[in-house]
Amino acid sequence: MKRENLIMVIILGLCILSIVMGIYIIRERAVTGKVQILARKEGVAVVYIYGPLSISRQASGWARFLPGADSVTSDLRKIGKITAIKAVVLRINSPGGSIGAVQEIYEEVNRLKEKGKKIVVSMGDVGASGAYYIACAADKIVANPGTITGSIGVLMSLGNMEELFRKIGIRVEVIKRGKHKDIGSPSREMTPQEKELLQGLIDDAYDQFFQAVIKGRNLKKREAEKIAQGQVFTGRQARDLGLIDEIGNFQDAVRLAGKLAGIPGEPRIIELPKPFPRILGIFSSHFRKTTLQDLVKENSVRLEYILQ
Amino acid sequence: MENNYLALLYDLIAHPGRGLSRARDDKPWIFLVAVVILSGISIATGTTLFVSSFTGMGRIALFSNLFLVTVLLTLFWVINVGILHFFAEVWGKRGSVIDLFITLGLAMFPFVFVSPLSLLAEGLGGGRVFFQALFTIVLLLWCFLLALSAIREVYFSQTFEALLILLTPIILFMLLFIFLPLAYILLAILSLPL
Repeated sequence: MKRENLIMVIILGLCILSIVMGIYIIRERAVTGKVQILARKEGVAVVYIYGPLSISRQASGWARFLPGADSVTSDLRKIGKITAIKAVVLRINSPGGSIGAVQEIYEEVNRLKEKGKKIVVSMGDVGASGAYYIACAADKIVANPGTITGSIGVLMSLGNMEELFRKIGIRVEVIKRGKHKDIGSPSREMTPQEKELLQGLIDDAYDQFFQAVIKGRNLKKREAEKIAQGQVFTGRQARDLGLIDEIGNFQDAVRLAGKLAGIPGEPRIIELPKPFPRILGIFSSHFRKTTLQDLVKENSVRLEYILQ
Repeated sequence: MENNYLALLYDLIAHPGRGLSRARDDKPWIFLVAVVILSGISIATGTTLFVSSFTGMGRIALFSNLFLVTVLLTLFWVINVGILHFFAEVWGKRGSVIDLFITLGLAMFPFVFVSPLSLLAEGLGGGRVFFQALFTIVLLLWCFLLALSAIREVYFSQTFEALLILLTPIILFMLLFIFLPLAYILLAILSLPL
């Protein structure tokens, strides 16, 4: 090949390579938002798990300005793709939530660990029940001395509104196929057989939680059984029982995460961009649960790892 | 054939006059389409890369940008050929519009470097905006010189004449932009009740 041709092949090759690299960087930016892919400095990402957890894009209850379980898992997946993030601090301030939401986040945290990221949980006011379930997947758990934690158990509360319905003149007609299809119906008292069936669900869900605690906290089954009876503990009590590792605040958790990841000095915090809250959604959902229909819906069969 | 294309490409960079004269004679249609497509992709990638470093734009932006750039580049190319050919004839020059179409298309070749230079600017960190602007000016200047060369080769004109053909529409548009508002203002003043 002539020298000129060789030069042109190299130039063209570099141009095409740069286009491919450019597309790759743009693709990564699409995944990671404003996080600089070309940034070489390693850091610690912070993921916020606030409020009662449910499968939604936004948290519910008092933390409805914050992202829900789907947004949390999405953030964790994004973090898995950013090589500059060496460790993650899960900032938890939650009483738990629905089993599905809790277990989806728990699994995503485990996947992140498999990718070599170090995970440290920092608990705020409360990190109980389902929130503690998630924390069990972390390498270390840090909590304040007065943080409310524990509450290892499963809850299903169903109201019996038979009397109320009778008083206000409502008679519920149930047409069903399947003996237990209206299990948990608020319009009648539960049968012993139904109670047994639901207890079976609770027992299985409890066992899943219990196994996660034993595995994550490296506890012996006998010791764990004593502290996994739904009782809550302060951060200090939890440390003595082996439910958490250290007493400290958020900054201590960030430093610990940096140390575990081998980042020298004060670790840089890499914040993932947050979407704007849906302002109108706040107004529409605030005063909603007022109708009887909503009250009955709330009463449906649902398992929760939640602190009451 | 591939070697011919490579030689043509080399000439476009090292000896633009010779390269464009060869392109005018050989009419390398496939090569022309390849250059325009590659230029379009490179501009789209380079600009999206630059903008995304500030706004976090993503894949969707790249594809919409790609579509936009391809449409705009083709429109610019076709309109430019029409306008320049018109003004060349106004200045008494005779040449083939097809030849102008081919050579002006190849004159967009420097745009192929938008993506590598954007990547380079990205790597330069703090001075990214300055270098991006500098690279853009250099590429536009290069394109302008190639367009000048293209006109020279197609209409067999002197550099001054080619410059006149190339600058006439630009000057006219600028005058239009200056005089049109002035004319409106004058009309508004004249229509005032005295």
